[in-house]
Amino acid sequence: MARRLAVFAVVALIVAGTAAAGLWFVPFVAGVAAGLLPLRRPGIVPAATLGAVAGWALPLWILALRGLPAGATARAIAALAGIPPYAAVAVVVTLLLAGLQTLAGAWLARALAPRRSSAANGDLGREPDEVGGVVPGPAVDR
Amino acid sequence: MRTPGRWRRPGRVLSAVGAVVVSALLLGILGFGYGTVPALGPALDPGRGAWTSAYDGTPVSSQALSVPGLAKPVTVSFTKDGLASINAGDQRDLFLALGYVQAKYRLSEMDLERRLGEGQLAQLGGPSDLASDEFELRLGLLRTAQNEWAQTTGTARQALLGYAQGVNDDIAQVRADGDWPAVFTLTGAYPRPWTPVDSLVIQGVLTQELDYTTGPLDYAILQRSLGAANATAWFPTVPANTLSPYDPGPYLKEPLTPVAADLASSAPAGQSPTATTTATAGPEPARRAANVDDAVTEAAGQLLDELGQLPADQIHEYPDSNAWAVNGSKVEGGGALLGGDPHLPQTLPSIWYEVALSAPGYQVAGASLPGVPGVLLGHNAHIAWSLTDTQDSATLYYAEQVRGDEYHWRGAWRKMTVEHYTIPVRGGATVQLAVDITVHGPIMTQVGQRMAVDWMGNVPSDDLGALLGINQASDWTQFKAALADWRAPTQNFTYADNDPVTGQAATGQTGNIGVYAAGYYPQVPGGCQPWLPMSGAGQCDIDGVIPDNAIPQVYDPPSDVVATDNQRPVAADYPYYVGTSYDFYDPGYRAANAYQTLGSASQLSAADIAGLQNSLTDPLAAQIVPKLLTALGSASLTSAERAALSALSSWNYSMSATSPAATVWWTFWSDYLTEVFEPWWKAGHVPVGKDTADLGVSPNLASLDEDLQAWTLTSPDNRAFAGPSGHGPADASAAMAAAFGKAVSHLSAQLGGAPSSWAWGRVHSREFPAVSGADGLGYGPRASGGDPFTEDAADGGLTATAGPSWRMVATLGAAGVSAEGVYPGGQSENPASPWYANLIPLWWDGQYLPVPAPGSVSDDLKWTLNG
Repeated sequence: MARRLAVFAVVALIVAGTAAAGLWFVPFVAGVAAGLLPLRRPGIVPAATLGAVAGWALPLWILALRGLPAGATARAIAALAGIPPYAAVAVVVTLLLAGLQTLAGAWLARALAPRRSSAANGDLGREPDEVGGVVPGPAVDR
Repeated sequence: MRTPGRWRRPGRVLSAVGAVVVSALLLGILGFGYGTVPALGPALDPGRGAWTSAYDGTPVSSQALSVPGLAKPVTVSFTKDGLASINAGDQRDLFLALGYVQAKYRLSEMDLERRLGEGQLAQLGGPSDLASDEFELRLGLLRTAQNEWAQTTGTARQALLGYAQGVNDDIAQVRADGDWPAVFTLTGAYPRPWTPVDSLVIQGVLTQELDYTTGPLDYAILQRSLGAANATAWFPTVPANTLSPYDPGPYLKEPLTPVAADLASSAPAGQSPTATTTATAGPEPARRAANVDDAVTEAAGQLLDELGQLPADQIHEYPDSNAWAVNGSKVEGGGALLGGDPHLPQTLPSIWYEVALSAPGYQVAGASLPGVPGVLLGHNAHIAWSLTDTQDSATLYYAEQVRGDEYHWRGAWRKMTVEHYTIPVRGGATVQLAVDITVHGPIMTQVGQRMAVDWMGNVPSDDLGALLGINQASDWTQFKAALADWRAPTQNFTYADNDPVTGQAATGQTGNIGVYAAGYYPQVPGGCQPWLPMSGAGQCDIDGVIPDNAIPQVYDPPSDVVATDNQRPVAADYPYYVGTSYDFYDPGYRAANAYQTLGSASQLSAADIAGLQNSLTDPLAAQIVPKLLTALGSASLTSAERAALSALSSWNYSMSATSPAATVWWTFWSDYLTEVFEPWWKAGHVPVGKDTADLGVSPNLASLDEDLQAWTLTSPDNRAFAGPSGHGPADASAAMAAAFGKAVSHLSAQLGGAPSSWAWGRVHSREFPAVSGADGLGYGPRASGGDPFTEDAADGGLTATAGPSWRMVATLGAAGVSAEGVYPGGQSENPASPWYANLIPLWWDGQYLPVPAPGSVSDDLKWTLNG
């Protein structure tokens, strides 16, 4: 649990910090990093994904906290993007992008990274397909 | 060689391939976009993307800003409603600051407008905007703006250069901060630096919206479908109803002012398409006009099809502006009053930006056009002015004889000028466009009969020089002199001042009024028919324009009233051609109402002028409804018809949103037009779908309103009532009875219940769509009163999108000149800003705000701009 919380917090802070610099792809990098972590514990990738979502939510929250018209801006963004002109839609789409990037990054890392020994990677000593077949995407984090 | 163990299983390979493909696609689309989908990664990055436009949506605070290029500090103050006052040490600084402030609040609107005019809209909007880009590049707003810039000198040149620098100062700041308006971030199409040509293009866009028409194309189709006799009778040069010209004569008949043959060709300087290239290839058929054959009709239809793909309101549609002035005994306390409300497409943000400008030698306030320096409608310390569109025939079409890259003109083959354009298309392939230009203008049709357009909007016109001149004028002479170089669009410049009344200096009486309809009115030789496409062979070329002394004008009339409401400005005996009744002239109901209301009043105040601007009285209803009541007096009616008739009999002719009688009247009038004209349209197979607004039977066709009004009032047995079969209604009374029955039936089916519940607001509303076209960023639809015939006009159908875009009332007296005004919108284009739509409630309720006086400094908010 502590590891997952730590991953969540670190990813959230890094993603939030780099968003201000225009580094929009950092959630993907975070996903790759989570996928490569030697700690194959259940929930690491979901924690990283939630951390990325929180990392992108944080600047929006700060906008609102500072009294800036975040809701009206969200509505305008949705309207200009051609999606239903509701503030919640723009917020959801924005956060979804962060989450999708992280999941894709983790999947890529898990799919391409060399296998470690079960002792080294700390898993249960079984390949994913040995416990339920090949699961595409980030669900390999088990 | 053995395959590594981890790749042995096909499932793992598939997973790896899937991960690579999905990641690449996701990052590619997020980073670069796909098709019209923008690069969502940077666009929605919460730290640097479109979200940062929230910073621009906060209320303005007092601050000091750095604006490179200013010679001295400039003060910009805002009222709590966002109305701006700019005070500068010299005129160059003033226009630089104006460019900076307008860009701060309207950069995306300005960029959108210049893109529209320069044929670069598809780069922003994708393939759906390609038709607009091709049209604009063919028509030539950009070429004309470039020609104008090459000829621009003096104050106008300095104003344009200063203004461009101010806009670019703002763009540079936004680029450095990354706080772009959301539309740029979401599309990834950021604005390039502003140039003086961009300002002239925006001036051209407004000219196009006011002045480019399809009249001759539509007329050709109507004549072909209905026959020449019916077309001439129903769409006459002088309308059948009573006119209310502001210039009733007597008229001067002077020689035409000569103009160059390629006056409006839009060809780049030095590339006139008039040079002979080969020997004459036999005699050109002497078609002067009136020969509306299949080829010409087909070309007209083809061009109308292309124009039908343009965004709404890109070319001229509605004739509904008001501008009046009164003086003498009409004015409470003496002096003069001027009211002006241009009726244009109503959008968010608005076409207008309200501002007061002050520098030594330049003091003016009113409505400015974002993208253009100066004030277009407003006042200074001596005069006030407003504009209405003259509606004259300014768009002529010529059927050209073409072979290869040559056309035949005045007995010889000549090389067309060819201009090449590259049109970037967002999410699509770049398009190459070649535009052929003859002496008459650009070729607008690409197959079959080639049709060139000779449009006065393509005449290089020093509109900005004229505008800056009237901004600084202090009397009628200076005002007219400033307009000497105004070519297009032809406008009724309505004027009032606080000078001593001419010839009455000894009495101390002040306040002169007038109208001067500046611009070029093209004239063609006798026998030619400019209301139809004409032969391009040379016989029907423009042979001059109406001389300045003879253009429509009036000054200090004995009635002490001038009213310009887009009506035909002159009487039937005016000795020059200014267009037919089909040329968008208003049927004159608003003008007649204004003359009657103002003419019968005395001791008028600004509130009275404002009241007239907000009037919902339908003058046509006041004439026709009594006839309808008489026609139905002895008819056998249903209970619903009796109730509807009862509502009409006690009606005050106000098209208020709560009035059931207004609903019955408007539906009846529409059905009455249909009852009388639709059988003729069907018999003639009029291809209404080519241009529904201008070919379909509806109140939008002013000529038909005028015809039916005149027939109902003065010739109720006109042959038209009986229809092409001769078996239709016997007369006006029978046609009205039939139409009334259908109207009540339609409304019963649509609204149900008793006629007393049929409030006009249930079927009629106003909507102010967003300039960007984005759903959710506009205002309305909201139930509303008004119709196209009321002073507070509502145009564009039952969901009106055009009407009073700015209302101003100026008071001119010995104490000075002041004004109040309002427009339906707000000063900021940012939907998150408190100044986005804050003026709409005031406008809706008929209220006004004081227009900041030139030189004033609001205590609410103040910026100091330092160079």
